[in-house]
Amino acid sequence: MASPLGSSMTSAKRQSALVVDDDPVTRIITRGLLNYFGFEVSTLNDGIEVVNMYEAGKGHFDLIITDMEMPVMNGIEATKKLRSLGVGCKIIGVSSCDDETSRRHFLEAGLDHLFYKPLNVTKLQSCLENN
Amino acid sequence: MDIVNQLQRQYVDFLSSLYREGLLDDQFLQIQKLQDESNPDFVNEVVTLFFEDSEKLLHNLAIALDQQHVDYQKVDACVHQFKGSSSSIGAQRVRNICVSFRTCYDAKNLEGCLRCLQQVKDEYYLVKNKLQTLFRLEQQIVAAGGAIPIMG
Repeated sequence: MASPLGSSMTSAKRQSALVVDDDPVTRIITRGLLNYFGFEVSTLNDGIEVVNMYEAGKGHFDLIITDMEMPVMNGIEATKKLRSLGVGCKIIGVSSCDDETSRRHFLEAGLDHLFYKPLNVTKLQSCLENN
Repeated sequence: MDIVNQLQRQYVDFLSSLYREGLLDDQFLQIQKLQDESNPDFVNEVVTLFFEDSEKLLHNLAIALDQQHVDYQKVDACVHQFKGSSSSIGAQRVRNICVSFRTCYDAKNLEGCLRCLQQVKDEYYLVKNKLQTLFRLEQQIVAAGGAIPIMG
């Protein structure tokens, strides 16, 4: 599948994505989804880990998909922190809280998209194509 | 009808019954879509991880609910994770009980929580048993030289 995040992708270099989720089952499925779209995928277990990675200057991803509910640092805090560090890549949140107030808070934190669980090919495809 | 056709028919009928009975939903089909030549065991890996993870969560839930002073935050964390993982693989009935479970622990209703724990265990072991049967059928089809039918 060609250029999931726009025209900058070349066949020589795969785009990279990071999955942040404390649930191992959801993590492996999200990794599989991103592999399906041609991404090179790394995974972390909590929001604090992605923030630490970027603070150490080691984060260089084209796309981040983060769970919103995690035990140490949730997706809202992690996204706010990443945006304050100047991280400009697309960040997609995935949540099981489907009320309007939560949705507003999640998007205000700086997410580009929010999906309700479960994430799947159909949902992710629409988001990647509408970029 | 040769053995491969017979097994393939059996597989389709069995998988259809899992959807009909609400044990699985469309999310399971979505996971099957992700399995290809570059990732030939994907569904098996995901489901095996789901089994391992679920059994840990059920064990932790049983311990949490067996304390004199129940820590409902711990219960919440386990049920929340179980709801996420069951929804991610399409185990619809397990997920639905996790939703009811929340109502009970939000109200600190121990009796209700214990009832939900039993229900979620029953549904989990039922879907586990069915998925194991499904994988055995897949192995038989492959051993007989056939391809796994694609549904959806």
